[in-house]
Amino acid sequence: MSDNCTLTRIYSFSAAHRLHNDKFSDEMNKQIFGKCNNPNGHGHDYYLELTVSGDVSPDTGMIINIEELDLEVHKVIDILDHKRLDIEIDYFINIRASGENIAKYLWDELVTVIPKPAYLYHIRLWETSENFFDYKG
Amino acid sequence: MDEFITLSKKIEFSASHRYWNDSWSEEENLKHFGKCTSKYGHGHNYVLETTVEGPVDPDTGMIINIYNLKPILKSVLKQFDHKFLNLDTDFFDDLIPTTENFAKILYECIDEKLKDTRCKLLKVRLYETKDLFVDYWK
Repeated sequence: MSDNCTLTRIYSFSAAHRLHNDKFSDEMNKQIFGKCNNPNGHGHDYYLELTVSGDVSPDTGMIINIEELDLEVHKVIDILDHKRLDIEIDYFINIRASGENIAKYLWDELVTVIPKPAYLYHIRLWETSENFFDYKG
Repeated sequence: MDEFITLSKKIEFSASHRYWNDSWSEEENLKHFGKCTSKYGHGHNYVLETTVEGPVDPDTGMIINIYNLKPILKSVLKQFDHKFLNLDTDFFDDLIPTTENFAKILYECIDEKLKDTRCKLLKVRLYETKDLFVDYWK
């Protein structure tokens, strides 16, 4: 399998979250999560850089058909788009909706739906233009 | 551990292309390539990001002088800039000018030109649009 060519597509979605852990006192939550602990939440424009790899088909010249990829990826990210993650998305009710955990969630959701024979190679989740999280499974 | 440092240079250029496989029916082409089959092509502002590696010259503090690298890259891109890739270049007579194939062609052209320098081509990243790019390396 060729592993020297990857294709990366960038998607965006917007979501709100609050970082909070019921196990900790209010004071401790404030200390650990700072302004991300604001009770009413806050939001970000997330950017997902999704990288796939695989053989370049001699018939199409492509690793993957972008339209098919977009269709599958949107099924995953549209669930999060314009939601309050820690309230409206079951997965994040007891798991902090941090950049790290959102990246892992997205990887797990995406890894099985990428149209074959391409495969998910890497994701980078930008939470702001200054913070990003890389995950490879 | 040996020191590992890279230098990357971005250059923008513009070209048009069309996706079409002669061995397929029109219907099959449309199914796979959609609006990219448009007969007279369509264009992009491509951005080529070239990454080289090599020892840092103690006299200049550089892997390669950008003043030397830039004309090398420009000389490669000259044959693609403001061209219709399918018809105006020889590379895509039997190859569909997808971003994947184009990145590979650019890698090979640049790699050949860098043979006379002290640096080695590590990777090319070719942006077709700002939300789609291909990395190619060997």
